[in-house]
Amino acid sequence: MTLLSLAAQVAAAIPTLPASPAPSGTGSASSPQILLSIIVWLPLLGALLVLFLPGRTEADQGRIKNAALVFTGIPMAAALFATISTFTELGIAYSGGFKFEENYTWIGAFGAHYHIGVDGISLPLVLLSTILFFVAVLASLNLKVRVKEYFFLILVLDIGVTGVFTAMDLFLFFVFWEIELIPMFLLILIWGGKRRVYAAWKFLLFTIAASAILLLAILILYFKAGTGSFDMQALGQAKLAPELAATLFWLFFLCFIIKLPAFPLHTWLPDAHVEAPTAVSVLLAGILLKMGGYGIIRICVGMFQAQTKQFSIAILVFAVVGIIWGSVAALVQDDMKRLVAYSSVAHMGFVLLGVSALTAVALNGAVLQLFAHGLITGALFLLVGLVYDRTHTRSIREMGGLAQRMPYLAAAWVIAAFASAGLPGFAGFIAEFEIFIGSFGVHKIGTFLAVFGVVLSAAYLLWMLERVFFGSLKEAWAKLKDPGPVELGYMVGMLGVILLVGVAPKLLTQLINYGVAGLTAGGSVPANLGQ
Amino acid sequence: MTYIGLGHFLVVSAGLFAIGVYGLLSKRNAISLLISVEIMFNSVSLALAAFARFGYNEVQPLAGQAFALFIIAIAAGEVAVAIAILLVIYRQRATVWVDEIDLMKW
Amino acid sequence: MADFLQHSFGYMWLILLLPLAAFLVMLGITYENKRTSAWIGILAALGADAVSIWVLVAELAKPQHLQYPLGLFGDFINFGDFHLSFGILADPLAAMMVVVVCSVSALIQFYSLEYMRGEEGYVRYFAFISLFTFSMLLLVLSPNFFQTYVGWELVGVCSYLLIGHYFKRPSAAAAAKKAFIVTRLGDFPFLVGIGYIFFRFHELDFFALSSHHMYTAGLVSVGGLFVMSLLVFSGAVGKSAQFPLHVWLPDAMEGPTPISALIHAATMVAAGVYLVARAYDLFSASPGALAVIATLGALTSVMAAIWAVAQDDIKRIVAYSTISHLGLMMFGLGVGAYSAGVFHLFTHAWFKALLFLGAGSVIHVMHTQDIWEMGGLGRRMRWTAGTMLVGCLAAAGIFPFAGFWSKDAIMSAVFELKNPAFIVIAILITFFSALYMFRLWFVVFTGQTAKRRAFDPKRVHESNGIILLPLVILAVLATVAGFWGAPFVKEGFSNFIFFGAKPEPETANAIAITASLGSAVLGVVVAAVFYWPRFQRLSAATLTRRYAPVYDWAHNKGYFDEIYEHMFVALGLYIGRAAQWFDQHIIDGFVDGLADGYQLVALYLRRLQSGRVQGYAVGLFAGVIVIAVLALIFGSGGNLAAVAGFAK
Repeated sequence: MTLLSLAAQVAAAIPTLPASPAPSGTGSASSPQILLSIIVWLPLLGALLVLFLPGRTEADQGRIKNAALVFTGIPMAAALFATISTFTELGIAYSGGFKFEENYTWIGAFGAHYHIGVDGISLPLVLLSTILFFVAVLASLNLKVRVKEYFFLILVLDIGVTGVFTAMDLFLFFVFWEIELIPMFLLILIWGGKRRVYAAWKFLLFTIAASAILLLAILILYFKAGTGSFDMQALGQAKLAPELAATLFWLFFLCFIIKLPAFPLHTWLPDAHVEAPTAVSVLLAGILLKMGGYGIIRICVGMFQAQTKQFSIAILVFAVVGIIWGSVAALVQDDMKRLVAYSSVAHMGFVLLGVSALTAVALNGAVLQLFAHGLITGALFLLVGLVYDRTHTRSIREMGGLAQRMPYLAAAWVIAAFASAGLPGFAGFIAEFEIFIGSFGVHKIGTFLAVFGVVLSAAYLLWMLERVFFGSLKEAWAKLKDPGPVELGYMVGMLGVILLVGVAPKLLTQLINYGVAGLTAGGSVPANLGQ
Repeated sequence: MTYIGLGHFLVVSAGLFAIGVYGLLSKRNAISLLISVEIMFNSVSLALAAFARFGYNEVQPLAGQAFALFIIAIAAGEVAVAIAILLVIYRQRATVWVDEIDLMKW
Repeated sequence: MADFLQHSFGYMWLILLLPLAAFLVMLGITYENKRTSAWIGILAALGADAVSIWVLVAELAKPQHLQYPLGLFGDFINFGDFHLSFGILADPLAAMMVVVVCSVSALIQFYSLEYMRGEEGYVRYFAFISLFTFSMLLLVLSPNFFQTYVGWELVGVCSYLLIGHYFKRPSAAAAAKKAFIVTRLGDFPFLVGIGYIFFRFHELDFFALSSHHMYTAGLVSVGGLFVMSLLVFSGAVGKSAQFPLHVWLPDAMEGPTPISALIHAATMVAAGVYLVARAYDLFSASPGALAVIATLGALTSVMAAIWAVAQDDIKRIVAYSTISHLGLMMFGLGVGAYSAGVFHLFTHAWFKALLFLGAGSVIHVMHTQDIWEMGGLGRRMRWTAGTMLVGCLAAAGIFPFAGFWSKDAIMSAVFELKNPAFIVIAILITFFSALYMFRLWFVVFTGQTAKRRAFDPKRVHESNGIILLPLVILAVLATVAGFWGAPFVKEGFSNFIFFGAKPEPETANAIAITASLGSAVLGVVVAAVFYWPRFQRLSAATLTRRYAPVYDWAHNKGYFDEIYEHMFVALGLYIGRAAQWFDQHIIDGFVDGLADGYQLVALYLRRLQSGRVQGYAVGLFAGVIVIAVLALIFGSGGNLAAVAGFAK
């Protein structure tokens, strides 16, 4: 009797087919969409497969690596397909809103849905994360210790991240947000450097705190809104008392700037980066930070627009302090990874600047900055890793003249450094230009100070390049060799994408603008510039 | 002749339970502890059987007795396991005095 | 004929495409083949030069402001009502500048065939020159502020890459970094200024901004215009090495000499002046900003001219001369002499490229840059000496060489202002220009051969034809280019490139001509008296000893490097360290303290977990009793007896 009722409950919890019709879907109703589910859940299949593959011998480990490549490669292809197909439909079949939507009742008892979909804001980020996961797997092909566990965790991480970017249901969002946490913790804890335990726990401490705040905010919103569902779009339209909305805004904002991170909640980032293995650093900076930025744009801007406007100055302060602080701190770092980590703090400040301005152009720039910075910082961390693999040190002081032994690596470094410094021709420039142009009308002095960060970024990057690669070659490095074709291959690929978006930004900007327009449609965001 | 009612059973049961608690808290010998626990079991069995006998559950009148039987069976098994563990501990540490056994300390 | 000329505009995209294609081909295909790569670069520049001359001729025939869109998918960025576009602008100013850039680029690549022979990174060098040429042309042909900024940054990068060509030399790497960062200090206000312009006018297109008179339409207050102008101008200050951001240019001489000629003399550093000329509507709308430009230009010019006299490095002398001349152009633009300032940009490109290439020819043979280690080279390097003399005459502003006409035009405008301070400064600039140029020439080319160093004089020989050909061509241009703007030419420069209404034919200002020519000749005479052995009457050494503080000040470039080093760089690092300390001790201290505090509490709390069964049992029963009592009290509403069951 009890068993039967238990079984019935379990059955109710399993997503019920067929779907309840999507409320705002633009996709064709005839065929059920599964593209996004493939992107999100295929890594799970891969993870299980990796678990069941033997992993003792080198050949076995090779099979595991290949499996990881396949199961991150297919989602990348799927995301690419989704982006391209959306791009070709721009203005024709697609005119904003969510695409590839899937909506099934998940836990009917309290209105949680398995509701995923992408719009112009999340699609570039999904693309970014699938690309970076593929690259991260490529960059870990030389791994020797605990291969099976490593790739299992990477694949699980993949689920969480792509899930966060696609979730349209706050409960689902939170679940994915949490899924990402533990694999990252373990990846730092097990495969990290000397102070990995400290770094991993620090990471966990900060992000768990963020999660707790997030959960609190979601629950308050759920109960106070009284819509009986966790659907973001429904919750976004709920009428809340101004004080409550302000409280909720700050709770969400606090959670996301821990993840972003912004001063003064950024100190977990340098430590986590320094200790994490290369590929994990790439994922951490390239995607996990973007979750914070995405959260701010999707939830703070998307659902609490009036509050974002109201607290614009406060956000600006976070932005400017983050930019300047991150930049000057990067100036004095001796560890290359720490330098790049601090530069991430500065660059994420630009995202906050775009949010604080809350103009369409600035928000466009902020989204593009998420994408661009993901690739650029990913490339920089890979390059740090490639240097470290050869020199076994990351101390800038100990290096010098490496360009003489490793011309190709040095060339890649110079390109990536200029991309990071916001040079025209690279994706970061377009993003920063949009942010500055869009913010100037709203915050004049703030924008001026923020743009000064561009000078500082050139300063710390070029100074680092000078000390590491140029000048006379030190004795110790006389026998270094350039990286092999695989490493150079994925470097060229990543720099190529950065360059492509920089030269033809229209590939993304229009798409992003549809997303931003959808986000700001209901609110009071000026179409162009704040006057 | 005095009618023996539920109250009497419960007094006996409570008395047994108190003896069990006293034994459990005051004895140092593990065997004594086990016996104390058994006494507590029995006190509860007695209470349950008494409740059933005096019809406090009209839907399932025999539930109390069933529980009492259940407890007897479980207590037998539990004693077997507990004494086995005790024997092992005795072989390892040559003592059955519980205040000398604090392996599970923090 | 008209048809043929009109066609030229349809081919203007070639001007941009050729150098870019050359860059890509060199990097991607012919990287291993040195000779081929070099010639690809030269031919691309020549091709672009041909098209640009064609365009210039067409412009001369019929000046026009045409704009051709250029983009991968139409506009570069286009969403909502936000547009950023690339395009090609064809107007007299752009046509003139394009010819300068392409010609100098072609000549310098040809020169480099020999100059860079056997050097490491030969193809890299040529590839970056092509990339630079492309970027510079992108800047020059830009129809809007956005494209200008893109080109602006790209030339900065090329400059970085080329200054750092000898990256094994620590000083070269440091100079490259310094050049980029210092110019970027000027760029960031420029970027903000672009933001300001876009915010106010929703437009970045030069032509739209000027043709609708947006700056003067009252959309911006006077103060706003002033700020806007200065923001844009600071970009020019950085790029054109104006005070106080001039410190990077002398250091930039660490690059190969042809690079100094191309980037740090003729083209890139002139971009600042070009920007001011291009956005002159903006500056002319704000008299205050023009005054700032004039003052800063004059100050830079005279200071650099004085410092140049006290330098010993042949390239640095020419570099300070460049700063001085750029200041002079800014001075001219600032006092309202638009055509004159741009004309000086035009003539300066030729004679300054000539001077650098001549210096390069000497360095190539002598393998030293110290002028005191040279001497008497005139006899053994006749062509170099002769062309250098032309360059010096032009730079000093001696009649009838190119520099005379343009400098004179600026002088006339300055004299017309009747501002005594400006007039004195202008005369000083002319005097010192002549002095340092001829000091250089006399020390290097006259007197005893290679006096200070154990050179075998016989080994000093003339450079070969590949080096001399560009020198000769540039010498010819440095001689004749000035006639385009000479007052007696009817349809001259000022009728071709002008601001506002077409100007009346100028009458030469006799006082200005006399003053400028007089001070220049005086400068030459003073140089001869000090440095030409045949006429030497005074010893420079005695003079420098007597006025040691002044000399030291000039020799050390006014101590600006030291001041910046100790003030801004040190300050930046200090703040950085403070931030780092704050992160590690205050923020992390708090976080770690939180974790430690938690651990401390747990350390005591864990004692509850004693491992003694009976302890747990006590707790268990105590808990049961408490719960039971509470349940009894609250569950029965206080009536204990009712619950106990005895009531029945």
